[in-house]
Amino acid sequence: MRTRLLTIVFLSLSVAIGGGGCSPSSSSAPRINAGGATFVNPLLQKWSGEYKKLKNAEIDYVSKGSSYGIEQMTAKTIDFGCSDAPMKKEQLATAKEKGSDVIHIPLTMGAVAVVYNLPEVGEAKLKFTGDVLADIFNKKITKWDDKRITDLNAGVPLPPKDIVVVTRAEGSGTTNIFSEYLSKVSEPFKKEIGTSTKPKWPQGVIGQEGSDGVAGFVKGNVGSIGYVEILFAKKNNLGTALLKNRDGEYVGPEADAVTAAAEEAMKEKPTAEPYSLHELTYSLTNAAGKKSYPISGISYAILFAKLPKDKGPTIVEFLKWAVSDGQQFGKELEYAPLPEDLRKRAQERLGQVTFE
Amino acid sequence: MTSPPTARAPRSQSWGDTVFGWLCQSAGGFVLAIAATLVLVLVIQSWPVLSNPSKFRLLTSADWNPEKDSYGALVFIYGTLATSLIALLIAVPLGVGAAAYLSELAPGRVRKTCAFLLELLAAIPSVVYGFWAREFLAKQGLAPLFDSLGLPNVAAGQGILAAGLVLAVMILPYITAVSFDVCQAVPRSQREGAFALGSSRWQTIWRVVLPFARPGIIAGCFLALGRAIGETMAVTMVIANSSYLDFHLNATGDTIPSVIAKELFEAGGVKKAALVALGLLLLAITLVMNIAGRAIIGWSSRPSARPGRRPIQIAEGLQAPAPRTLADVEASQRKAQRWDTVMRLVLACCQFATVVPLFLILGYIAVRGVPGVNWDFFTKLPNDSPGRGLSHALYGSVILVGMAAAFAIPIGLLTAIFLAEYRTHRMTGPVRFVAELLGGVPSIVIGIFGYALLVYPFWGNEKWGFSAWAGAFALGVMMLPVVIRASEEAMRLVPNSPREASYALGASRRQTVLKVILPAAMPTIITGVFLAIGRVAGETAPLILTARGSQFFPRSLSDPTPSLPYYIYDFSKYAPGSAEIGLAWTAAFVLVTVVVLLNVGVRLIAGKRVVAAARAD
Repeated sequence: MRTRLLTIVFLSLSVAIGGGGCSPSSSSAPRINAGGATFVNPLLQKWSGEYKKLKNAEIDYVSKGSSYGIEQMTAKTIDFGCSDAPMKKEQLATAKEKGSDVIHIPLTMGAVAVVYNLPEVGEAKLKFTGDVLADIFNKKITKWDDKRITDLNAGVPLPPKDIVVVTRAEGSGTTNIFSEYLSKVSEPFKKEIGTSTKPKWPQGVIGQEGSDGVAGFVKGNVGSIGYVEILFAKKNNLGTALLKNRDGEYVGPEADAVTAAAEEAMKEKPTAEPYSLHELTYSLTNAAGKKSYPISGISYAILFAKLPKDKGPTIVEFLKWAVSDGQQFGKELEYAPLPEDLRKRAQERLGQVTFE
Repeated sequence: MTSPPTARAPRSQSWGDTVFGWLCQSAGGFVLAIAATLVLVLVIQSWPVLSNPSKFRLLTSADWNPEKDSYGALVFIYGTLATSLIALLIAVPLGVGAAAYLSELAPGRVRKTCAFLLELLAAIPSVVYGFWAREFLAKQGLAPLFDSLGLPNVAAGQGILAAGLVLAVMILPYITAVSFDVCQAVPRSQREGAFALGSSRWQTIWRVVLPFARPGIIAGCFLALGRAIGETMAVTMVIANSSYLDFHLNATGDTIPSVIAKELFEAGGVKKAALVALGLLLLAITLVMNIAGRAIIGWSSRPSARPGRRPIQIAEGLQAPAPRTLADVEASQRKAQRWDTVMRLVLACCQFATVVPLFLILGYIAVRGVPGVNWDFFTKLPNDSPGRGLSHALYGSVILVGMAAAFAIPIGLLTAIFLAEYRTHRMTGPVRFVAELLGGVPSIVIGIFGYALLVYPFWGNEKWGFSAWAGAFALGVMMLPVVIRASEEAMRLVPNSPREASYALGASRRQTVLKVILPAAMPTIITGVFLAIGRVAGETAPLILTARGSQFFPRSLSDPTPSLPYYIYDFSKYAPGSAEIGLAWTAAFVLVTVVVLLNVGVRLIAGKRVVAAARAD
């Protein structure tokens, strides 16, 4: 009796599973498999939804960090990747070996906000200079009521608590932008830690996975400080710091301040690697200008210049849409839209992609 | 007219039998091949690093900084060992105490209930443990504790201690189950002897039962250590990820499985080789633990006269001790009585402490997860609005587990038939050994295997990418040893007489197996298979490296395929109060409900205690 009962249960389950596995899925829309930076993830998910309605093509974007985007794009397990850190010389060489040249298409610009969780501070916004921020992330300042912080924030009640420093646990373009800024403004930071997608932080700095992981940790733990793309801060109602820019003004991570930084940065062609290796890449960190937010960055789609025939046209079409009509969706998500000139150049660059 | 049937000549063997025998054998061979390929793939992938130990100093340096070409992995080895040892330090006394209580003191009903609760505890997926540990154990338990001890708040409770504690909870049911089994195996005569000499319960437990069971308990500890070392998800989620050697109570760190899970994806070239080498190291450590544990079990279960530890020598001219006064005897009896009462209470507390986490976990998940259970959860996608759900992950999970079962059940069953019914074959020994070891391979190593073999094949230029095939393969490899073990045990439980009767009637081996043995063993086999399904349904580590995840319904089996555990892991990172973390809690609740229902249901139907089948060792 038991045997029969069990067998019946088992068989019916197998049938259900088999049936589920075989049932044809509804749409036959082309699907593009993409992944990488968490910086642009909210925008890409938005685009994915809009583009599906518009062109019935599905963009399956998985946010796992910029290094993932670069590595898996190179390995061709995904159709295109996203990264906020342009590829380095060695990475380009590896990619060339595996396929062809890689092109970088700027998708959007955004601010990396310094976020903290201090209920005592209330609505007031903390102010930091690059120097102080570097020393917090270098573990030289370990208490919130350290004199160097209180000096910058007269009148703000800072508690005598430990600073819990949170960074990204995986290779991240946001980290690259952030550490590039700190390296530019602090000589000791440059020497001890340097610019990297995953630098070796000093002891006592912890890591969480993804921008959501960092924002989630800061949101859930009093006394912590981290850095995330601004939308993650807004979405979670986190306090964001004002930073002193190169011209001595305190600026918050607003879209306009990113646009201002971009305008300054794009005045001349970059000469330093890795930005000089590509056509459309710029370093926006620590830009000149009174209104510029100093930790700004561009997120790029990275793809081979030679794409396979079946998926290639869909990818290029989507990216062309993203850098033109798609830009309107950036604003509501706190991103700064690309400047007109850059959009045009991105379109042209996409036109050079060949299919084989 | 018709001539009487002539007596058939003794047939050599019908082709059906030949094919059947060949099938069983090749299933066994397949298990060997899988294991060999696993090791081979890991060695090939890590060769650039293995072949040059003086350059990469994997085992001699603590500086892990791939950006600067520095691959010292001591930090991760330290983290792995530290978390596992903390877990053992807590879980062994508690587990052995609980087992002693269950075996020697507990009334029948309590024993049954507790055994069942322990099995549930063992069935909770590790990603759910991690989620709970991060939100409850670290945030609400350890963070305030560190604060009250005056320790600096480095990671809000996360770190090596948190990981050790959650590992302790995870291996507790395992240690308890093994210890319980060996306590039960202590012969009755030993206990009766002790009682006859006037021992109290506690004295019997302490002086007779536990020493007798010691080798088995030690073996159990080795096996548990092997598990703790290979555990990935729960540890990744609470270890706080920092690459420094730190020996404080509130230290943060990283472990081998955790660093592989996080960084293998984004690694190429030397870094990838270094990570795979770490996987190989992990495999080696767990294998050593497993082989050691098994060797101890084998050695101790061999029947042998047990010589007294301290042979009593009667020296010449020794005076017999003066008889003790009545008062003396009474005093020592009272003392023994008091001890007895105290220790009984202590053992009961051990048992209590063992099952408390179960209620903490189930309760916490129910509180956080139930509000999100609604129709949307089962019908919508995570990017939908209004109403978000994980329907595609449910669907993907069903496909992955179904495919894994379709792969593992036939092969596992055939292998089990081979092991149970072809006992004289010279391959059975190696196959059984390898199948048992395969059960002890950490899930993340199987993830690397699937990743290197099917996602990112190392032999050709064509990259296949993340797919349901790769995910199902990894899950299938995890499931295979469990199915083999459960089926073999089930077939061994079939008494010999029907087998002999069948052969006496002239049935061939195939007929005996298919018509006699399998029908008799089927209920136990199906129970075991269901429990195996419950186990792999919650597996996460192999999936994040193979099937990955997707925002959409998978359309073909070569698409990246979402799964429920993957989304619990992915969304558990989101901020408190966000929609995603709500989905993660609901997903955890749904997953745990399915696993618990599977366990309860199978037990209700089969009506037997089948813990052996649930243990994948």
